[in-house]
Amino acid sequence: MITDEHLPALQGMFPSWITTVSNDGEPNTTVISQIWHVNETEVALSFQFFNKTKKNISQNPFAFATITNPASFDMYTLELEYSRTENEGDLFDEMDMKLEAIASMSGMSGIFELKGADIYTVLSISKNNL
Amino acid sequence: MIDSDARTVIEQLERRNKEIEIIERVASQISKTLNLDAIAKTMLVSMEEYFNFKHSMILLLDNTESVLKVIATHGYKDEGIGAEVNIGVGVIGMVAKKKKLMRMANLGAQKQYMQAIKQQIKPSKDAAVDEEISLPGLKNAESQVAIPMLMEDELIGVFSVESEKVNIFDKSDELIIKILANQTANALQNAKLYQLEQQRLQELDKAHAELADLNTNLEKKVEDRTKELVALSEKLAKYFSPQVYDSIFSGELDVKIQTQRKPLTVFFCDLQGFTQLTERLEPEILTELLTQYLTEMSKIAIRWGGTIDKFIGDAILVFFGDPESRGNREDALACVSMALEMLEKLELLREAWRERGLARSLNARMGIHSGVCTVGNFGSEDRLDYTVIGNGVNLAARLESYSDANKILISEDTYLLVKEEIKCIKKQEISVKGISYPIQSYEVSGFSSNSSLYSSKLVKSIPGLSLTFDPNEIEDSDKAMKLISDVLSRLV
Amino acid sequence: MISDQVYNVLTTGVGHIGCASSSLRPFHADALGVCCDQVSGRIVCCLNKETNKPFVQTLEIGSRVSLFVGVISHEAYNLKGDVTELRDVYDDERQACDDLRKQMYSLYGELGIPENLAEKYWLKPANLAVVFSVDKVFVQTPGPDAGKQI
Repeated sequence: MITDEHLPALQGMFPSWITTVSNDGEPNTTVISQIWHVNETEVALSFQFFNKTKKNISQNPFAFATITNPASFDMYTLELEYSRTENEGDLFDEMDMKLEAIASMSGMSGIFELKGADIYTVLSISKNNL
Repeated sequence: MIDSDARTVIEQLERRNKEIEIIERVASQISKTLNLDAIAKTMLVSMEEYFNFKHSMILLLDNTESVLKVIATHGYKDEGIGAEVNIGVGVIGMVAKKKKLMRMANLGAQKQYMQAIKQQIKPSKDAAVDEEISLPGLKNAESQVAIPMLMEDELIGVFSVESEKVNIFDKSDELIIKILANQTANALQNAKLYQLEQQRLQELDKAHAELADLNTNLEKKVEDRTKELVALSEKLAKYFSPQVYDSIFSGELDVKIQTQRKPLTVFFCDLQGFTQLTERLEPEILTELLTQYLTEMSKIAIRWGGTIDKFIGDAILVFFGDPESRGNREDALACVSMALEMLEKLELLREAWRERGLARSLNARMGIHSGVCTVGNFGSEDRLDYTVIGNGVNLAARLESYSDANKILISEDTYLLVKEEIKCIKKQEISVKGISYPIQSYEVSGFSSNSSLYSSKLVKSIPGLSLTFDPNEIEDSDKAMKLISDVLSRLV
Repeated sequence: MISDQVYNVLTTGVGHIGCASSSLRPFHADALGVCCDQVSGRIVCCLNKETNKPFVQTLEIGSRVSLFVGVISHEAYNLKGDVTELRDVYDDERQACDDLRKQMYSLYGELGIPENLAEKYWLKPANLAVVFSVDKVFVQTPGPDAGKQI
């Protein structure tokens, strides 16, 4: 499902946007800095705050996301389904390191505590150009 | 289609081979030296030469293990050697903390995002927000690969490569840097160990030298100190009765206020007419006289085992029975014998002084009493006097004052102890303050003929001839006989 | 109804509009331009049908939508409302899209992104206008106030 072609779009070089839906049908579209590559069938989002996206997902596991390849500007849309949250492990560490490295450089250490890595199963992925 | 794929694969393989070749070359270069700085610099220079990594640095973990220090850089205007990075701060600090590599592609945008948020937090006076931290490296770094250098899972440092271009490092760059970082880690570790060893050896040599030095000094110091102490104690000895002095040094006699009641024989003696002498004679002569007298008397006292309590001018106080006692009877006998010998010695001294025209007559008066007295250290905490007190002492002094010139007056208690060996004449009764009954006194006339203490000494003097004969003191009997026969031959 | 602050971001920022299917599946589309009546709170979101098929197929009159819009400084807002019209794009609205496109080219240019790459997002015909009435506006600027309704 996810191939080498998609990898550059999953490095946080360019923002991604994601839509989720609450139980009563209200959508929420927002922009996030990175969707992380996990493996061929999974991607992840960093969980730092309990925001609308997180709240919606807790009610309804489906999400729709767009990622951009920073070199080619090709865009891909993904249909996702929330799988689980990891609080430790390689992915969590990778996320944590990246967040903390930047935060600490700006004197904001510890403000953005990584609470977890939310893992989503990729249901479909397609290129979105004309 | 197939061709282009194959071409790509071939290109990739070629590149891989080239990279391996270069890595081997670099590795062999750095393994040739054990110099920490040389290794680091060589590595970084090679990074640009072969792989076009223009800006790189090596940091080593400090001994405190909380800080990384820059030990080598390449491609920076300011060398920045020694600059510090705290564990957990920035890309390098996080790599060190988690011991995992990091590849960053767009540091600028990410920092900007952080800044935007920071702008909003600051006005609300959130104390958790600190100032920006200044870190070594490119100010406008966009891409960075930082690798932890590990030896058996222990962090020894971090290897960092930067660029001002966004997203410039790819997976294969990451791999190359990783391999080179490991090589460096190995080489650095070896160099460090070697350095440590050299340091240890140096420290060891220094320690040995210092120890030898110390030993020599110590010996000398001990020697000097001992000499000082010996000199001091010799001086002090003169102020003590030898028995007391010995007892102190042997530890038997504790130097604190401590007294006991013991049966002692106490001896008092002074010189009649001495006071007049003090008025008549020059101080030097007087001192000489007194010294001679006291020295001679002391010798005799010591020889008989008496404890010289004190000299009060020309008066002497000696007691027997403390610190050591040979038994009441033996102590009393020793005391009386000592007194008799003192009288003999005094006669000789009188002769000598008369010849010098110094003293017409210096007569001794002696008193002896045996009884229970209190003996030991008297005085204050700081100043002790080892002496004897009690009615017995007063009695001895009283007897002395009643004694005739060059005679020994003893109490009945002493008489009862010595009557077997010593001949005495009964004298008057004496009353003493503190004793309710009068004391019967006796005058010593000499040893009884069956006495074992009968002195084998002879002191005789007639006009023109003085004879002092003490067989105990003759060292060379041949010489003595020759002398006598010499005299005899001249008489006949 | 819509403040100047929000209006400014709506008309100069990048927008993405989301909706939900009856089975609660989410979809979104990329805006090429946003027009707004500050007084009535009516938003016209212009987009390209062909590159946003799943969204377009799901959306209908009365659908609830969420429009996220943000500018380069990270200031952003989320506007929610119900769809009132789905129609062609008017000329003035198309003009607004063209103007925005040009602005974006110049902005991307400053960031080192060449026009041929920027075109991949921006050079598309704006052929669908999604009109909705705003009933909620939220701050989406990252920071302590994110998610606050205004």
